[in-house]
Amino acid sequence: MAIFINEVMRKYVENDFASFRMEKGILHITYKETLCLYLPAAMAVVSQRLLLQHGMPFPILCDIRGVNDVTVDAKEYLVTEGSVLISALAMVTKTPLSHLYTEIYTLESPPITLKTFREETMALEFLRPFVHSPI
Amino acid sequence: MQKITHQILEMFKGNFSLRIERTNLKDDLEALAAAINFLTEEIHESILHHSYKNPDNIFGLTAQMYFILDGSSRIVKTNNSVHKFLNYNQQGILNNPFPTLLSKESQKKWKDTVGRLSGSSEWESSIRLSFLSQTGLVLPAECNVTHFGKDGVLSDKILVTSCYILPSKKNLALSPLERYEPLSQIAPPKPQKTKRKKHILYSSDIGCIRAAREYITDHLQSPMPLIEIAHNVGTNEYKLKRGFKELYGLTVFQYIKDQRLRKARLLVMYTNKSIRSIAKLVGFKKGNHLSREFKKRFHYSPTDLRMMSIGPKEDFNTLT
Repeated sequence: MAIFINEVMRKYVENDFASFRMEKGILHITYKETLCLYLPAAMAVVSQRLLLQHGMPFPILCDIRGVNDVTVDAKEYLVTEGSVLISALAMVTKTPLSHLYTEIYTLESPPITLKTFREETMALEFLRPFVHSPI
Repeated sequence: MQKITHQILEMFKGNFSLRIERTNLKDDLEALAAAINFLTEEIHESILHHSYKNPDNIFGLTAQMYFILDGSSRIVKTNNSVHKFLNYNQQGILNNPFPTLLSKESQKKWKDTVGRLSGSSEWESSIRLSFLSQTGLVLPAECNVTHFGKDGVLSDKILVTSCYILPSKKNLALSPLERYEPLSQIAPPKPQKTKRKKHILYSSDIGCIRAAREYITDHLQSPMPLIEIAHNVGTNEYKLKRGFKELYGLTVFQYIKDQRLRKARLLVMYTNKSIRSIAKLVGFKKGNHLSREFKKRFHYSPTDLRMMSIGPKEDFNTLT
């Protein structure tokens, strides 16, 4: 079953660790400030994302500037379970710290189309071809 | 920078338990501290894996740090391991409040735990605390906290314990020889029973094995004979089989199965695809094959999980 994503309407949800915003068929995930991304937090973010996706793959724009620390088990969970139902992933990194965490994640070669950007506009441009048209 | 230097020196000594205390900054120095902490954690996990496999010759000893506190959390007694791990002189910290040895976040956690449990006369709890060493490094520790009741020698005292794995003394490269024995006194080695030849991993082999893991994650959907994986990453079946187990602690097939089942679990929970199509999506030939392996691994069937996962579907709130 496909859900219709309104092209104009902006939709928003947040939990303790991140906010989730659907805009023009792209899911924006922004991690909260000073977040320590340990395993339960990573699981909660993936679970919230999948609940919102209703079984459909989506292009995702992920802003990890807020993340202060990541544990090894959280990183491994994000590489395996965290790559489910992602058609493409754009990571926005603007600080040396977020750039480091993106590099560490990329080194693990998650099985998804993935690119890192400094600017959000470029990231959106990269994701646009992966937006699926409403059925 | 000083803390980073201390951390690297501790790693040289074989101590991978400590971490650099993190701040809320996000600059280059903070990224360097985070990278070193991450590397330390990876090495520590790898050592635990190898010590599990080779308990006789890598990291076999455990050490325990303990603190006995009075009813108001002041330190009454500690052991020598506290000095070894945190560098504090035992006498120097006696009578000090225990929370002064903790990071700010852990101080709050400690206060909450003790406050929550203080009503009951005797209690025990597990809590993850971060100690601050005298050199300013952080020691994350899974602690067991026991409060004794009004009776007995430890009346109204709190015992905090934490265990660590240290280099085994049998590993001569990591610990100094305690006593020199002249060659003449050393008995000639006994003839050993036929032992399997030790497999050594070279950096080129490690590169191939890492590439094999990437190949597996990219091709989970398709059948993956060992020979095909080996050829695709430029190695042979034997090296791949032995090296993969050595590096990741799982056989290639165990790893493939694990990855497939972990993905299948999420697809069962968060999609309404049939078990048969999920099986195909993650590389199982048939739905019943997935169900059988799924039950073995998670102790419930995919159908049971699907039933448990059916609930009100979450959706976005519309922004106004």
